Amino acid sequence: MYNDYIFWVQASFYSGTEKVDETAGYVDINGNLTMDCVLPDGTYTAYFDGWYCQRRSASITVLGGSASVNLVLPSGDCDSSGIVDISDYVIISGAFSELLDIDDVTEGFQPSPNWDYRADLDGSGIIDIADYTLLANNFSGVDDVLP
Amino acid sequence: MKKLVILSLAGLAALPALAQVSFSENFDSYTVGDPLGTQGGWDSYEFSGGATPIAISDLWSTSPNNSAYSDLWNNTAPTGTYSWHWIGHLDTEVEGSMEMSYNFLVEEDNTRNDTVLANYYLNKVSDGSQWINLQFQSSADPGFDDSFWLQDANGFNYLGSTGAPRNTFHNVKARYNSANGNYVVWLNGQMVPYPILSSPGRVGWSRMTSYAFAADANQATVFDDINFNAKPTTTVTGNVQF
Repeated sequence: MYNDYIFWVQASFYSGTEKVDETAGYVDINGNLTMDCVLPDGTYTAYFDGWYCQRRSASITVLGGSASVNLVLPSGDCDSSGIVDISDYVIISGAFSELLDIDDVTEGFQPSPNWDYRADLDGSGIIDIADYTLLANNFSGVDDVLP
Repeated sequence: MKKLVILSLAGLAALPALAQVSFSENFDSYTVGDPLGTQGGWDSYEFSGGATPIAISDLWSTSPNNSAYSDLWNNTAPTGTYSWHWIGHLDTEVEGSMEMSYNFLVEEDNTRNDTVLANYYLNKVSDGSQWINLQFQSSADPGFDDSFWLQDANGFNYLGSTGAPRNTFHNVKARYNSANGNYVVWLNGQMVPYPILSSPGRVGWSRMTSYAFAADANQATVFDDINFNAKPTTTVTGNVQF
């Protein structure tokens, strides 16, 4: 996990059913999240959605311009359909064993021909059994529904 | 009509950490056909092109009635070095500028250390999140791919024609945190669903352009409504597992 990539996470912040703000930010290789938004002090329901992850909600409390949150965003939704299902399995299968960086003699480092970034769920740079495992563990999972 | 609002949320006399700075301009109160540089708080200087590249028009505005319109190609063909500026010295905090090469600029600069290099940019704000809401229409030459794009100080391009067809009206909003280099960009109300790369610690400003003033392009640009709003940032931190 986090071997090569810095993940991109989007977030929407709600007060009741009103969306107060939306933003996006990074998750570094250690899982640390940082994002900027504009929220008055108060408590909000935040909905986080990462690349090929299922959307998850969390309550956050903003005080003095900062807030913190710990999240688990189950991956496996390769096609961002909102559910981890057979279509995601097909994407991983179609790219199995592909590499993000191969050293081509003439072109330098580049993805292998059938590389599909959507299938690299663990960010390792190779589509392998670990990606299948993540999908299997989260199979049938669905997005949390927005207000 | 141009509006500048500075709200001190902390109630301090000097520009405080929690200041909110807003600027808006819709050009609606200006005389149609006259150069922008003679109206309102706008000031023209270093005018050396022999043409009037920015004028007020009521033909191109998406939100009535007026807009600032530039059709460089239909004016005097540019030769040599051009430096057309319209500087509205609105306040010590915000100024607007238009140039031939750099299109448009709205800057917040607490230090007044002005270095006008950019098309449309926000200079560093000490601790505020920064918002741009630029609405424009660009009729770009078919030979050009991008009707607008975003760049940082290092020249990286962030948003091109894939999300912004030419000859259409676009609403672009960007949030930029100069402290960590994070960009979030909205195009026509939708957040761009991929990272906007930046260079924390190196980028002091960002800029936005429609490419309309390029000397070798048959292009025109309409600046319809401009809104600038800098608000205090809320930083959300935490840990994410996948």
